[in-house]
Parts: sequence; structure tokens; C-alpha cells
Amino acid sequence: MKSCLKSLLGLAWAGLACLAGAQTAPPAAPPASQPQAQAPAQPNVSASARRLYERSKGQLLQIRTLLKNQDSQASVGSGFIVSDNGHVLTNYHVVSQFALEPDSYRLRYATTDGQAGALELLDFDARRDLALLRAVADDKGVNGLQGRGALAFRPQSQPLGKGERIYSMGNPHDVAFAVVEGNYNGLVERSFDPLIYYAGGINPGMSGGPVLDEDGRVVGVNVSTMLFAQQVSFLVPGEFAESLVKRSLDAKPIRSAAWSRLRDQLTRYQDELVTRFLATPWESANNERYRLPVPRQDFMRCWGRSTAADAKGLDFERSQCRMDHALFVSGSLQTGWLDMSHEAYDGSKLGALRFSRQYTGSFRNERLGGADKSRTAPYCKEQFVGMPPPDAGEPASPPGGAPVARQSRSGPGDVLPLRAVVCLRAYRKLDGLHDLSVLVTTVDDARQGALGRFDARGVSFDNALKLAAHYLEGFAWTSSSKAK
Amino acid sequence: MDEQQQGEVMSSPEPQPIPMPDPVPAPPPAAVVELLGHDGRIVLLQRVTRWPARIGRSPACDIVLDDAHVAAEHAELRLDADGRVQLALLETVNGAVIGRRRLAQGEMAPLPAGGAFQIGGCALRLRTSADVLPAEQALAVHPARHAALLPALILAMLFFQWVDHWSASDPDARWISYATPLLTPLAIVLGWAALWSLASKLFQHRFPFSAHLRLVLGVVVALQALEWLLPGVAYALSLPRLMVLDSLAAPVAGAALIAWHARLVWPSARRWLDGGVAALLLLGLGLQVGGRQEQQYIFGPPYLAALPPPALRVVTPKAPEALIESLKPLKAELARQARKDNDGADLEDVGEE
Repeated sequence: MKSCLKSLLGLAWAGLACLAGAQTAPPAAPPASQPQAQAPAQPNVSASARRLYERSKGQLLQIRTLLKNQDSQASVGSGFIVSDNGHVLTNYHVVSQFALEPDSYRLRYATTDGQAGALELLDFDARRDLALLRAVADDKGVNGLQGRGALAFRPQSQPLGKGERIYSMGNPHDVAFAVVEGNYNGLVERSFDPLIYYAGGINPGMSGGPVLDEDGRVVGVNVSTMLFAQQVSFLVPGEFAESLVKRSLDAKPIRSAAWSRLRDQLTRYQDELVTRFLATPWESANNERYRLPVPRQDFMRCWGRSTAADAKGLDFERSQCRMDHALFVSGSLQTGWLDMSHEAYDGSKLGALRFSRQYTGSFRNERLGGADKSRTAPYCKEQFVGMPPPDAGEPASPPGGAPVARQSRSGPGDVLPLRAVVCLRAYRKLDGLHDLSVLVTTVDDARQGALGRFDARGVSFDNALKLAAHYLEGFAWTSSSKAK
Repeated sequence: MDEQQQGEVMSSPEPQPIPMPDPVPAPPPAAVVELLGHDGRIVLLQRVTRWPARIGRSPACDIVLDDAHVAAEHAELRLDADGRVQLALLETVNGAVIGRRRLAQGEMAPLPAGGAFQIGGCALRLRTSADVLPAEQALAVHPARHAALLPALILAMLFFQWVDHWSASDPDARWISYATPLLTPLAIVLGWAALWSLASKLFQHRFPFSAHLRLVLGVVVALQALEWLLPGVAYALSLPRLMVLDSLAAPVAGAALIAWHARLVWPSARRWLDGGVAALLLLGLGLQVGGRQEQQYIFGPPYLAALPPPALRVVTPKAPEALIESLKPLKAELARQARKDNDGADLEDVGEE
């Protein structure tokens, strides 16, 4: 199961990992292949990949991040022209180096016909992994991308159907501009933010490139692929790109490190994420003895695993739930996700001393991370905590369960004792954001127990406390164990 | 040589009678000649029964030396009128050395204070009752230990090792799997004690194996006991910082152990050894302090991972709100930590937005 999770994560992150790749510009232009065409492609024009590429290659770009003082490229991605004034859309992760260290990097574009020029960063949307750029006029006042036409977005009123053919463009691995055919497969399920599942091959370097429908209109932006999977790729829905363009067309260029803008965006995002997460009640883990917190799988995916039935040692059942999508901050930092897991142990075959030893070992194994460039070392508080029974009866409790719970709530022996550790790490450059880790073990029995862990990346201090309290509330006796 | 002797005797027919009546006022001092080994220790001691005392390989001599570089009758120790001892060389090839001075056949010289001289390959020392004796040295007597102490310590160590391995293995573990965890530490401890005993042998000419073994076993067993005891107490009372002792125990006990071993090997340098070991210990701890400035705690684990049987718990659990409340002071502390490496970045951010 662990490997499953890893590969899933990998997928989302793989996409991010391709930030360094070049992307090709998609075809969005009108029927004619002339640069100035701007109208959406006409429905009755042939829709082959070749035709689409011919039509939109004028708006397709490679976005290169170069070192400030030399021509070595630090990373490459793709992008496309979205206005007649030379506005360019790409992924935030394609330009993140420039956004965070504008003194060390600069941005340039290259067109399919070999033109090149400088770009400036107007705005970005880290949550959707999008960035808006604009070509800079050269010494003679000529803006090289002006008048080349722009790709149009497919209106939201015309949603794509599952299986419809769409075409991804970009410059994979800086090899050459490419057009890749694939299918629209709807949105990724259980994702916090909408993400299009594209059945087609996206490679590093294509990030930021457009994905076009048969009519040459932009339906999405290449963003990531799933690692160790074939043809499972992800696109940012075109509507987010369109709204960024509308919002920031006239924005002033960003010339200093954009940490505070990034922090504001991430702060707003985590507020929404935490609010939604706190609003959902815990599900039952179906453990006989303990009520263990498991999230509703609205935007998290859960995997489980247990020991073989004939195992002679410690029996356990493990469950892990996490968000598969994270927000890209920089090459060394991703954030904005929740992850939780628990292991329920049964040591009846072991005896108290052996169980205690192995339970301890499992608790000790939890890694909290150390100080690095992005975050401080974890600072922790720990305590024995007694969890009262949940207010209402268990979801799974029998009809008679609720009165029992209410009766016994007043008794002190009715509290489920836990050993709880709460650790926080602060982000160095994203003021006010923290990583939260909560470790919880039940300490009521010498031969069985449960170890839970909750992680939240990039949340405010207050939200971290709320999440920690919420997670602790997920632990209690089950009604049946209380009845004993 | 005979001629020479005769000549001497002849030349001093008059002084000769003088020593004879002299005994009355001052009897000659009692004296011994010590043969020193290469390490300066006395190998052989011979009493001077009469003056002059003849030294040589011949059994007829008063002081007999078994050395091929010594003549049959090599030299003579003579008491002069002032009570000083003179070394007079008889018929010899190799002569003698007093201090830095080399004496050839027929020469004579007084012995220096301390009475050291060399004949052939033998370092000799004359000690007389006129010399000042150093005070009696206190004998470093180690109080007799109970005979059962050593076996008890070995059993205790093996017991802890056994519990450690037993509790960490599943019920179907085979007995042979205990061999390595039990025997390896035993071998290491015995080898450690043997090495220190060898050092003692080198410098003290003793092989106090059991004393060294007692030291190392005592420290190992104490550490093992602490390893079980501390987490239990920390858990029972919910005092996670007690684990600081656990992380300090190993370096401190290790340093103490080395200091104790060294004390047995070089008893006279005790003060220097203690100081040196303490300095090394402080240096090591100081490096750790320097290396963990970013951590919440310099010593000890970030959290108490021990989960002994719940019956040990003494404190009552608190309400979850108390834990959440206790986190609040971390906000400022984390913000301060986060700013540490961040000063430059803060400046860059100015003017943005």
C-alpha cells in the first residue's frame, strides 16, 4: 500500500517535477495560420493534429529561465500567447525560480519560428500553478509577440464530454515543439481543486503549454503527470487560466522576490482548505475498541493494509489517507496538503512487555523532519490527554448505544487516555505558515493500541491548532467498548 | 692487575693500618649494591659485607655480576678516610662509567650522590645507610570485593541483553537467535578489560583483569538499567525532559569509565587524566550544543516515544484543550527561529505588492 501511495504522490508531483521542461504552444488560433488570427477555430475546419498545430504554432512558445548573467538555461517550459499585446500564459512552476529570485534569473521566450525575446512576470496563481507574463519591448520599442494573435479559451458553457479528443502542445525536454493527441477524461476524482484527467503523454518541458479542442480553443494547461503510469496526465482547467488573464492583464510587473504575494495566496488557500476539512465529520475506522479518525474521502484518498492472518507477532491494520495534489512553491518545497494515517495494533499474541516494546518502536519511528532551508526544526509539546466520548452516538453504534455513552460520559474511567505529541515547523520565507504533525497513541491497554498521525503542510498557526484539536476529537472509545 | 694491586698495597703500607683501628670511632656504613634492569627497576640486590668490596664475574668477588663484559675482578669499592666511597678499577678492558665520565683500568673516582655507576653492561647503584631514604609509600590497596560481585555483574548484563532481545522479537524466535546479542557484548566487554589490563601490565607490571572487568561491567549494567528505568519514570510522571539524562548518560558514563581505567594504569597521573577526560567530554558536549542550536532541545529526543504498559502511568490525562493551549507559546518561538536565516529575504520582500 505504501508503494501505491508513493506512486500516486509521484504522479501529482511528477507533473510538478516537469516544471523544468519546455512546453510547446498550443494551437488556438483561428482557421488561418496567419499570426494575427485570433478568433476561435471554426468547427467545420479539419481537426487533425497537424492542422491544429499549423494553426496555433504562431502562439506557441518555449519559456526559458536563464541565469541572470549568462545564457545557460536553468529550466525550460512551454507557454502560449493569450492577448494581442504579447501576454503569455504558463505554469507558475515554470517561472518560480524567477519569481522567487529575480536577482539571479531572467525569463525569455522562443517562438516556433526561432524568434526570441525577454519576458516579464505580471502575476501568478500558485494554487492553480499558473503565471501570466508579457513580452518586453526591445531597445527599438518593438514587442516581438505583439500582433501574433492569441489563443482563445473554450467557453465554460460548452463542457467537453468524456473521451473527446484534445491536443496537448509543448516542447518536451527541450527536444522540439510537439503536439500530442489524447483524450479528455473529466476531472480527477477526490481532488480538492479541479484538475483535468488527460489520457495522453505529457513530458517535462511541456509544462505550461496549451491543450486545445478540435476547434483550437484552449481547454486546459499542461501541468503534471503521474509517475510510473502511462498516459495519465493532468491539466489545469482553462477557466482558471482565463480568469488570471482577465484579472491581471494590466498588472505591474513583479521585479522583487514574490514571497509575500506567494504567502498571501497560500494563506488564502489554506484557510479554504482547513475550513472545508474542519466542516466534514470523521468517518468510522471500524475498529472494535477505538473510534479512530478517518476523513470523508471528499478530497483525500485512503489506502489500507494489514498483517497476514497467520502472522505470529504483532497484528496491525494500517490506513493512510492523503491529498494527492500539493502546491508547488519552489524546487525544494511543496505544500498545501493534508495527510493522515493510523495503525491499530493487536498484541494479544505477544504479551505486555513485548507489545510495549514493539509499540514503542513504532511510535519512535515517526519522522518529524529537521531544520532546512525552507522550514525550522519541529517544536513539539506532548501530554497525556483524555478524550471524552463523542457527543452523539457512534455512527455505527446500535440504537441503545447513545444512552450508554451519555451515562458513562460523566465517569472519569470513561475517558480514553492518549499520549499526544503536537509538533510545528515554521516556514522561513512564507511568514505565518507552518507544517503541523500530530502523533497520537492510545495508552489504555497493555496488549493493544492505536497509533495515529496527522500532517498538514502550509497552514497558519491558528489553523494548525484547530486541526490538531479536530484530529484529537476523532479519538474515543467505541460504543461497544464503552458498554463493557 | 695483581701487580697494580700489589703496587697499591705496597705504596700504602702506612695508611693500611689506619683503617684497622679506625672502626672504633666510625663503623663503616651498611651498604647494598643494586643491579638495575632496563626499566630502572631493581633486578638483583647484593649486600656489601666488607670494605673494600670487590666487583667482578669471579665467584670470589663480593659482588658477583653475570655479564660477559665484566672482568673476573673488575673493580673495587673503597671507603676513603672521609667516609666517601671510591670506585677503583682493576684489570679490565671495558672500564666503567660514572655519570658521564668514562674510567679506564687503574683509574679511581668517587661515586656521585645516588651512587649510580656502570660496569660492563650492568647499571649498578650503591645505597648505604648514610643515604637519605624516601618516605614509605602508601600501598594502593583495593578493598576486597565480594567474590560474587563479578559473576553477578556478568549475569546482570546478560540478563539485560536477553530481555532486550526477547522483548524485541516475536514469540516464534529461535533460541539460536539469542547467541549473537548475548555473546557479542560479552566478548567486547572481556576484550575491553583485557586491553586495559595489558596497559596495566605495561606500566604497572600487574594484570588486574578483574578490576578492569568490574569497572566496565558496572558501567554497562548501570547504563542498561537506566535505559529501562528512565523512560518508565518519564512516562509514569509525564516528564519527557527526563530523557535528557538518557542522552547524557552514555557520554558521561563513557568518560568516567575511561578515567577510572586510566587511574588504574597510571595512578600517579590521576589529576592529569581526570582533567583530560573531562575536557574531552566537555568538548564533545559543546560540539553537540553548537550543532543543535536550531533544535527545540539540545539534548534528548524531540518527544518521549516510550509506551510502557499503561499501569505505570501515574498522572491523570488532561483535557485536550490543555495541550492545545500549551502550544500557543510556540508561535513566537517558531517565528523567532524562522527569522534566523531569513533576514536577507525579508529585505528583498520589502516593496513587493
